[in-house]
Amino acid sequence: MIALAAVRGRAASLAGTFAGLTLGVALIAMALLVHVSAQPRTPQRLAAAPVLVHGPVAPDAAGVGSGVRPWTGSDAAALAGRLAGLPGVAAAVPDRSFYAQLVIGGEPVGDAEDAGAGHGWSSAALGAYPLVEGVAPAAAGQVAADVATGLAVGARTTLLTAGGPAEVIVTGLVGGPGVYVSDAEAARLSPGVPVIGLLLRDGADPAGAAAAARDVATGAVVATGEQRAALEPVQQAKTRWLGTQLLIAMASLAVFVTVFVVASTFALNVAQRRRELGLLRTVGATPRQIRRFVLGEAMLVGAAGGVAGALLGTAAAGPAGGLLVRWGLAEPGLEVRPQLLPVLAAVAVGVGVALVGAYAAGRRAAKVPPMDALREASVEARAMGPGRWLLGGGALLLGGFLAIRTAAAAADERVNSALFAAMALTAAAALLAPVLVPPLVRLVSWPLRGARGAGPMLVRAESLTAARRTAATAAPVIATVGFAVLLSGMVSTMREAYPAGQAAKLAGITVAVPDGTPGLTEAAAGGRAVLPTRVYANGLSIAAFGTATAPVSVAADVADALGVRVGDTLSVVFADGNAERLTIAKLTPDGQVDDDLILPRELVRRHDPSALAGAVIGVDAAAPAGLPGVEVLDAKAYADRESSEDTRLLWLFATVLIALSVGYTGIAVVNTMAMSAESRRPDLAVLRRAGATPRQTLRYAAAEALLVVALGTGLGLAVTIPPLLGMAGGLAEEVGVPVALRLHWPVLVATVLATAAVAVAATLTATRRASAHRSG
Amino acid sequence: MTITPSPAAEAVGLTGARKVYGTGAQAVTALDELTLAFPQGTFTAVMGPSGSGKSTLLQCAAGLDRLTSGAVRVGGVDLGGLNEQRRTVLRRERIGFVFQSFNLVASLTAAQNVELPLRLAGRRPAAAAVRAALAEVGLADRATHRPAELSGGQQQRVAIARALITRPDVVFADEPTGALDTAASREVLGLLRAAVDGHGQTVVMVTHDPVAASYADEVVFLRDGRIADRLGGAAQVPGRAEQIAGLMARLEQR
Repeated sequence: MIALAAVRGRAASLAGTFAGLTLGVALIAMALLVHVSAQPRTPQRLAAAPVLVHGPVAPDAAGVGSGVRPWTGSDAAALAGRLAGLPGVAAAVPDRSFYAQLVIGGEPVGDAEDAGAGHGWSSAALGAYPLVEGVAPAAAGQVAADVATGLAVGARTTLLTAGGPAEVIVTGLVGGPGVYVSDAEAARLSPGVPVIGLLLRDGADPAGAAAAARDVATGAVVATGEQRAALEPVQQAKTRWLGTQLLIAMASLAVFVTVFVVASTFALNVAQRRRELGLLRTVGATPRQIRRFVLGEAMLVGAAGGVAGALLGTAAAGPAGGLLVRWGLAEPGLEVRPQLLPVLAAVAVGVGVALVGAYAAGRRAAKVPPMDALREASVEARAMGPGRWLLGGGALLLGGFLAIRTAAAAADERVNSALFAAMALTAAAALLAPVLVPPLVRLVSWPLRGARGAGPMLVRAESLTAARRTAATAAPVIATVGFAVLLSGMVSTMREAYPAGQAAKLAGITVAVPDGTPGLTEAAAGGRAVLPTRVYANGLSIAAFGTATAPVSVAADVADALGVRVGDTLSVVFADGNAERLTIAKLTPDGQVDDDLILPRELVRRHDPSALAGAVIGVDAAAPAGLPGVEVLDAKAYADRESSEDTRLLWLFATVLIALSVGYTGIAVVNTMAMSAESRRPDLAVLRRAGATPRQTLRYAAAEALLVVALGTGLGLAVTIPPLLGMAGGLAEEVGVPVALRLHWPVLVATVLATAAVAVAATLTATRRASAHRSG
Repeated sequence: MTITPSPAAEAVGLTGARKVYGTGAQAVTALDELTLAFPQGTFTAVMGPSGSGKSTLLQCAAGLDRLTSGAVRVGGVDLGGLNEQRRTVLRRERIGFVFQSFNLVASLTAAQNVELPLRLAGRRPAAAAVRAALAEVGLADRATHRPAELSGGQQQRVAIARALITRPDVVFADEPTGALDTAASREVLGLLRAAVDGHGQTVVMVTHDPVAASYADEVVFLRDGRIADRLGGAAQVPGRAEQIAGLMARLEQR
């Protein structure tokens, strides 16, 4: 009853907590809904085959994605023959995917990332793609093109395959995506077969056919229904992985910041309600009961915010999915459907977060002595208790240590290390603010000390005497400015560093790169470039790279996963389904190269006719120029191009996270500003009686809010500079050129201005309401 | 029905009560070896100049604060041997409070404020009992009003209803009329008097107002943490307030 009444009675002061929780739960619900909806789906082009038979799915040795072990062409043909004879099966179609891209008007068309758009003609039946016009390709030099390309039957055009460009004639048009060649040509381009699709007779039961297929295809996976999603292309798995990273970052930020908002508002709440809590203690509430009231209040607000957030998150999930698709972090065709379980989970997290945030405040409330009800004036408690000193000092030491460690951290840990350092330093600044505030206030107001008006005197005195309140109000500003400066500064610094380092390494060299294609053909690469492929060994899928000279070498962590050492022999299955026995000649230490397994180039080409090279470095600029799908760049342009996709993603992540954290801490700023203005109601009345005009009181309040924003900005900058410096130092070490610390000034200035505007608006509104209340 | 307690039974008693604030040179003795008993069914006023220790006496007697040495008994239970949890429970069951101001939880209605001690004790308050308690202080029609909608006197009457609903051994009142006008003061004091006369309650009231003190059966004057004087006899006799004021004036001059 008391918690409920307390929530009802102080709806206004809990509005900030409610808003923060609503936003948090909405974000979590949205992230979960999008994540659940973005689960692997059966590729559209295989969806018409109710039963798919494929080789074992091998997890990637490096941990991202998986691959299907292929059969050799002859094994697949034999197996397909046996499967076709099963009752209810109309046809068993070996399905091949390989690189094939049409060139129209000199430009490669279609998805520039798709290295598997080519298929044999019989695969069109697996997606029920109809032949719209013309006839199926039956010989080399013939293709069936997607009707959407706008090509006409009989048109002559260029087809890019891994060998290079070739003239082809369009014999037919297909009502679906992809480039289709004759089955014989497909078997040449991709000897191996990863999957056999079963087409069933009318009325045949997929489960029955699958059961029969399992008896025939021993050692293979027979998938029906949702299980067929395991065959999604690797590219889609990568896209989803990226999208998941953003969703995870958003959800964790939501949890972190919600705890922050709830904790700070509840702390202020308890501080302002000391007298009421003391009264409850005198009339017989035990400390435990007081703690339960505060937690009960948090639970009620959490539940209310949870329900509102669940509705908001469900409504926002659809558009959010659309955004992810547009940003290239989710596959087109993603359909976000409302589901109960993820939303309930989000609500539960919201309530839990509210309880965690209110826990410390509840403990403090339980310690309020009963006699506080008898005291007339609320006296500001000691600025700093020993616990606060201890926590603040500890956070400061930890943050400093992490900032120094950032400089020495490995490349992939650097960003996280800087983030943690900044978090620790932000916490330290917020905790130590009560001792930092007075000297800073004196410093900031130094030029005004001789001023004649009452304003500077009042503002100075208020901020100095109520150091703890000033500190509490400045805390969200520290976090807002800190987050924005850190995230934008990290991206700016990295954007400078990586291209500079690459350009320095490749100075004076030209590079041939793919242009509108997923890789370079043999004609363009000319046998020089590194050839990536995928192999299977010991139940794992491994990214392998064919180089001209290298001995067989394995990255140390992959060697551990495979359980092999130098000198061991490893049986490796290639893309064509054939196995080779290789002797490991060398282990490469972790982190030195990205390549998991290095093989002779000639071996890779022999087993994977459709492998595409990434880039040719140091190539004579004239050699491949003029070929479709090739661009020749100098070192600087190449370095920029290489990092542009990374930079785009980094900016995307940074922008989303900055927007979230700033919007979020903005709520906390509004809340603490409004609450602190509310608590000054008696002071205002005294001021008014002493002859201050309403306009003057508003001006003082605004000036004080601006002073707090200035303090918070200073501290926010102070906590982000050490991690950024550490990061710049680490980057300089890695890329080999000096890296300067870069702040993103537009983001910084915009954040500070927005925070100041929000703080002043909140203060003025609350102050005006407080004075109106008094006179009314 | 009138309960007539035996005059010997004490509701609250202090023996050798000593309370020292601070340490060393800054130590201030607020209660100095004070021994005092408040008999059941009586109305006692505690008076004294500022710093005489009257507020400290009330807080220690009510178990809100601990004595430096000596003993406090409420309803025969020694508070010294109880931890915070047990003292809170004892306070809830045996002691009622009325303060000068800020007596009520702002977000609760008058009726909910009255129910508060029962609910804190985990008991379900009977609606009729709450109604009766409010009716007794003349606020039956204000049950659903919040404190902000009540006058200062009405708020004090709600506080009295709340202090009495548990039928406590003793009600401590700290300047209950300090913030009220004369008419409202008279109502509040009348209610306290009625609680003693009508229900056999025990009331201990700290005040500096001789008129308020004239409602009490006995007035105890404190000075420097010790009993300086006592004035017993019947309450509300004509001229009693003037007599108390005279004693106070002499006490403050010394």
